[in-house]
Amino acid sequence: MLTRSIQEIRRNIHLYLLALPALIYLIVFAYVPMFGHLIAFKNFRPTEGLWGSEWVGFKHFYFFFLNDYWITVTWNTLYLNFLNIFFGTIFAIITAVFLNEIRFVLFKKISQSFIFLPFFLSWVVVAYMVFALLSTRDGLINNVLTQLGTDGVSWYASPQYWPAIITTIQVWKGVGAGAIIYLAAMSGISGEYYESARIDGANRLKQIWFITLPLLRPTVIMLTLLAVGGIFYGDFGLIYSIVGENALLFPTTDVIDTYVYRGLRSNFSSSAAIVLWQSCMGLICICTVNWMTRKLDKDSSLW
Amino acid sequence: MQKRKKFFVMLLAVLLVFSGVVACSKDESGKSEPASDAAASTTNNSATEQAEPEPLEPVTLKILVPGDKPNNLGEVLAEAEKRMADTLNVKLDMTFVGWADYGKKLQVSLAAGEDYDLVFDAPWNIQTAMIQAGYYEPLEALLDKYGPTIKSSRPEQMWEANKLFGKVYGIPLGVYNVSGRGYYIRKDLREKLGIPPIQTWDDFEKFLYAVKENEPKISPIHPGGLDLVSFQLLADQDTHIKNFWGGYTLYYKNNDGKAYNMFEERDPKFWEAILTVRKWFTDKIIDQDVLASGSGVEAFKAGKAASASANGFDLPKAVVDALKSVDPAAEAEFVTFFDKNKKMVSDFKQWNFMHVPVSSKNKERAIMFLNWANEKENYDLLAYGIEGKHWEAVGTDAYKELDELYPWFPYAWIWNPESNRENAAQSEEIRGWNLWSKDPNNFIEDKLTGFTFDDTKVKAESEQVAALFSAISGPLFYGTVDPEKTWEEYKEKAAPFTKKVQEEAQRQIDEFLQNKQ
Amino acid sequence: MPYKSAFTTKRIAEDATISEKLFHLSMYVWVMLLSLICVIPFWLVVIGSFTAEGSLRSQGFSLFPQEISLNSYRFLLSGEQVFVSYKNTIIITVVGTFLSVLITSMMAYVMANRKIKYRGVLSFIVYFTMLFGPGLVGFYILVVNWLHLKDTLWAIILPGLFGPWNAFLMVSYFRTIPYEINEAATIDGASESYIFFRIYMPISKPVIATVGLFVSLRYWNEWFYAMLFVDKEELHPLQIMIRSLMSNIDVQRYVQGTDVNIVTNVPAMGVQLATVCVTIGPILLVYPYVQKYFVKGLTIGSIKG
Repeated sequence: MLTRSIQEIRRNIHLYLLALPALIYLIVFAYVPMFGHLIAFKNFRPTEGLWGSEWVGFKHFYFFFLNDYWITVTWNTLYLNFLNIFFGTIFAIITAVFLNEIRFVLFKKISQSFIFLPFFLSWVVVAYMVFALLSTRDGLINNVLTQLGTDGVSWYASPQYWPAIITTIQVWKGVGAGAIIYLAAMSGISGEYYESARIDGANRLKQIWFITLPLLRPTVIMLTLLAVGGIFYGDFGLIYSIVGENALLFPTTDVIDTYVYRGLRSNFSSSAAIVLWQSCMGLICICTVNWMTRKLDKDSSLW
Repeated sequence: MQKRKKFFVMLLAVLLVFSGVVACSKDESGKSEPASDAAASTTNNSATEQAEPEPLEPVTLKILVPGDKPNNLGEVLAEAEKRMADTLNVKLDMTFVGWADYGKKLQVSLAAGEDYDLVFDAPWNIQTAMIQAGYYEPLEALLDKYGPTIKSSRPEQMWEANKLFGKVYGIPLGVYNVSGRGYYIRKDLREKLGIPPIQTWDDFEKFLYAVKENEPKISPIHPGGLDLVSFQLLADQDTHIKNFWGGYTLYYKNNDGKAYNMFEERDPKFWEAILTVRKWFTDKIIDQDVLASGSGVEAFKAGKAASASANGFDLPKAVVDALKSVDPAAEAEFVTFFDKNKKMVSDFKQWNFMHVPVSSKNKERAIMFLNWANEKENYDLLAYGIEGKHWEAVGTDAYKELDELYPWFPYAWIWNPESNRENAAQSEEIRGWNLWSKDPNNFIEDKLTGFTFDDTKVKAESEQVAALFSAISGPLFYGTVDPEKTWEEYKEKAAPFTKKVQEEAQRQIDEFLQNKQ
Repeated sequence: MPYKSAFTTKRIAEDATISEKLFHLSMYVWVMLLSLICVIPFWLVVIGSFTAEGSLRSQGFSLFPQEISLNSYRFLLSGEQVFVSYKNTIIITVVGTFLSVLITSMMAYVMANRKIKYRGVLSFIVYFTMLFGPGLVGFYILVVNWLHLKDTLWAIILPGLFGPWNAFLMVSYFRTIPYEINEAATIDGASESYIFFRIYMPISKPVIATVGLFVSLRYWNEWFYAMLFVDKEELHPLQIMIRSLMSNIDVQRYVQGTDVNIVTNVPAMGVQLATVCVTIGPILLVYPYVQKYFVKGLTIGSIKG
């Protein structure tokens, strides 16, 4: 068996050499420092070092599971991530396909650049804008609502709207980057496909439906698989900047990361423990989803 | 089977590569270590010989403090190094880390054994956890030997009060005995509404309701960031209620050495404050987006709030200027409801500290340097800059800033009551408040002075309540939810944990008081 | 080529139907609306950054400047540190992007290559590092104590040099390139590195441009590793400088019980907005050059390269 493997490596030695820099990099910068995760099982004392510190088993995991609030935050994390992946993908694909279909090149280039712009706004600035839209006293939306004769909504006190608000912000900020990825994938599609489709008399809708979308499928699957591993991680930057300490919205917006940040700001070991838990759950998810992908479409799975 | 073997082979290949890498890096560290060892031992030698007059071996002290690197710091440090050249022979390598990231930087770098010699930390930062985990060196012996001026520039009481877990782990930085709290008020609005100067809480309330009635475009008060419940209780000079743990979930009062449980004995003052805030919120006195829009002081500066709660006995020029830039006709004033004639209970705790990490290689020299820095003449240099260029003296206890700015930041490393100068630009009234707060004779010593609650044994429970509390504290303390209902829900979840923490706290308090006698 | 066959059987009328016209219209409307939603906030930020703090605070965002002021930029760009920081950021971005794209694409090529029996294992090794980041303390010890990279630009460039996410993005692109190309080249006696650098790289420009764009943006905005590993100001990148300036404005939130004059009157909100513009400026200059690789007409894209 071992000899077979050596054979395999020998046969493709040039290819493995291409992979070598990245492998060395991963070992040194990713796998070696993983010993740092030990801290989750230890009462870390700097004088005794990471190895010397006392083992405490799963004690640092208690914080998270001691009351049932962990269910709420886990649910919020998964739900918000699901919404983001789902709508983010759909909007990015639609936008990319439309951009791709537009023939007016200047318009295409300018609008594509515009759509990418929100990507550059820092969360702090986004938070200002959201407040300018939603503030109770002089927010733009409430102004419109009152002019239409309805009562304004106190947005910052109504948790039920927030999954939609957060998803909207995420999609708005991410659609440009997503569209770029799909545009790149589309520019690899051979023009011959379209040509022969045109000869066959397919209109553009049909071309999109029967050529573009199927060819985008591997990319969609890949991006989704990449997102699945991180599904237990909340979007801390967004939520902390926009919701912050506004506990009124916690029922729908508090995710694992924000909860841990509030509760364990100074406790290294416990926060490391929760991160480990998030990673392990992510591992389980991705293995399952990847296995399912293999069954359905072998060529698109990760491994 | 097959797969496992594949993996094994990969792993083997990977390990081979890895062993190469390790060999390389070992080589490197092997080279550098003897050098640093040598440096450490020479420092030790020189430190023990410090009584001798000849200059010590040169040492560079690594100092980690929060904030942005001050303008003109280089010039000041150069002058300091020049002054020390013949005696201490210390060079200063100061690292400034932005406030938002300071805690993380401190925690990670010290955990990895980075050899900073002096670091800033504070109870509101991560100090307690760091001490519990053994990051900071106890300083008594070092201070006795090398730090006479550090000790003498702070009253004995301050040292006693700022022991943590019974030991001096950090050098307290500060001069006041009570955290100043007050309110900025729009003077022009008050005068327009025909209300006389505000003296009491009731006057204040009348002002707020008058604003509500007559000025629909402006929020009467925006307490964002500094909630009114804590503000009212902090200024309480009758029962002296104090937060013990978890935002008044455990509290104590009347200086009787007991940790009360708010779930069992709901304090009337506390609850009255909660109800007031709730009433103000439902009456739209408090800005309706208070939880979402951050800082009240910012809203005040923007002319969107007629008043705001504020830290410190002060009306900074920056606030007035900002307000004027929005509305040139606007005027601001500062009020506070402390009563100078009533003595307050204080535990004389300071807010900021300087620590020597256990990983420092120059502990003696670090303390020797601080000792030097706390001498009046040198303190003046490090705190206010070069005399005649950055500042000039006004008498012996005040200073005036000159045009070229050297920002004031002694709170991060050297602040002490002996050498401190007040800013001569303060108004008479504000200066009066600061002097009142500075004088220990205006305060009764808290029975628990010098006591630190060690929550190691009830860590999980304590973190639990902290997390639960963080989910209700905002809404409850800003009045945005029905207090009775919220409190009951909180109680249901947190009460069992709280009981355990209370018992542990009381046990430690009793032990502490017994040892004190 | 399974997609072609769908059309050979059915022939559809040449002239555009009403539904196609409608589709055409809705396409332009969608793109136009989305562009507006995306560009207007950015416009507000740019205008806001040139507005006096007072009017920004009281009026909020507006489409046209009320009271023009350069104070935010003056605050942000004063002192020599800006130039030093800009220089560092540029070095980090250029070196980092080049190395990162190089090793990421090489790895991705191998992971996508059907000749490799262990590509699944390799993929798993890569994906695993995405799930389990290095513990922060472990990482610090590695970079500072073992590799001795403290206070060097390498400490900012090396962490995150290989991006697993980008690698997989490239894998999915490489997989769409017909394997026959690879086979044909192998039969012609081309070496693996020739196939990769001379055949695959040129036809993969769209994905390389995309990954290069993302990587360079990440390096451009990097502050965390700089905060941890670089104490010397002369090596600080732009973002860390801006970050500590910003948090100093906020100092009252952190310090209690301090003296009076620590807060100078700086345009807090304006500076936040100016930060966005200062950061994005150079990127806008480079963007069109990158853009041409993924925004093309439909006629291009023949795989023959």
